[in-house]
Amino acid sequence: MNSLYRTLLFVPGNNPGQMVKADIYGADCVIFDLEDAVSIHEKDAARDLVKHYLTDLRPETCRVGVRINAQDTPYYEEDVRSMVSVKPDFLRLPKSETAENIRQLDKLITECEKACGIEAGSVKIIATIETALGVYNAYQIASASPRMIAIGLGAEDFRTDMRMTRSEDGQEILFARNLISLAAHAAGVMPLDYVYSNFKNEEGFIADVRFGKMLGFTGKSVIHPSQVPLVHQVFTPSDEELEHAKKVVAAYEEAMAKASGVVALDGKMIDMPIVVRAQNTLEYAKASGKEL
Amino acid sequence: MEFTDKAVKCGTDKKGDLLVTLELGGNGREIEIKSKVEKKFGEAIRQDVLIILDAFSVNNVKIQIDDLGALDFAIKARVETAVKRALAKEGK
Repeated sequence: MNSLYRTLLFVPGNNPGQMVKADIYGADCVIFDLEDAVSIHEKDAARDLVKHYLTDLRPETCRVGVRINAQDTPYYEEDVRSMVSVKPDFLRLPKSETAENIRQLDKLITECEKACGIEAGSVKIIATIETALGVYNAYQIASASPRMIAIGLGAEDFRTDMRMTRSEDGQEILFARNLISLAAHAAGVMPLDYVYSNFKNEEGFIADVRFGKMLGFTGKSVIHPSQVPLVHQVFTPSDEELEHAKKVVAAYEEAMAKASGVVALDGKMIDMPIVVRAQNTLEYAKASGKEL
Repeated sequence: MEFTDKAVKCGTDKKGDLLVTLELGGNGREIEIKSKVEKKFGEAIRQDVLIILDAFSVNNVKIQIDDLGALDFAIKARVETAVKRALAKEGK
């Protein structure tokens, strides 16, 4: 299992036929959905399915998360209680608007971990931000708990909340994407790019993933298996990028070995941010199966 | 197998799933399994049902399983949900 969260594939939590295939598409994470993909009459059934699936058939090749229902629904508490008992890697909380939302979830997870004899802090949190207030509070949300590992934008609900007009290339959500990326990096968690729902538009999707990567996103939520390899392709360094990164890291290590404060490559000074970017490139290359 | 309006249902008729019809009451556990693979997996399906009935201490019950090739996790999950729904319907 690699250490990256390039792709987070949503799978309906009430469809056993789809659940058993969830881990075969190569996504870094699978998220079983108890929220939008499940009707209000089947919330109990979805919970039981995900619980038994994770007990009997938990995938070993990817991380597993569960998108629970929002805190203002009657399903939230039971979702948390039943899911923590089977120890997913993370719970994804929709409609996160304030740091208090995260602190409440943290408290409930802590209580459930204790009751189930699970090591404290095992179950992490990813927050989905999908309102104007949530975007405004993005940094406070991202830094509200040590369990936080990522924040992501829920674009459709955000557009509705903001009374935005939807464009094909998502110009209207640019500011929110920038802010989510900024807040996540400031808080030391991962920024996850929004779901591109038109999975038949491959060209538009790839352009969107590239743009998100340019803005600093480290991964993307996806709703269709066909989107997984496309995201990985964008996040896989090219041979040129990889070669350059190797040279930068080698120059850095050589300078460190000589106790030299100055790192240079091909007659140019290399600053620490360039070294860090090169290290990130190597990590992505490794996760993508490239020869280092 | 005949049921009254006290019966509850859970699941779907989609491939890889199953439909459970369950009614509490009667004498003992009556379990009927309808599956294309009943000959080979009927006993395994029955064991999954029993695991859940034991877990909830349900001893008097009628259950019909319409199986569409479900795996063990789905059988246990659907039966569990049906048991909980039936208990809730009885106010337990």
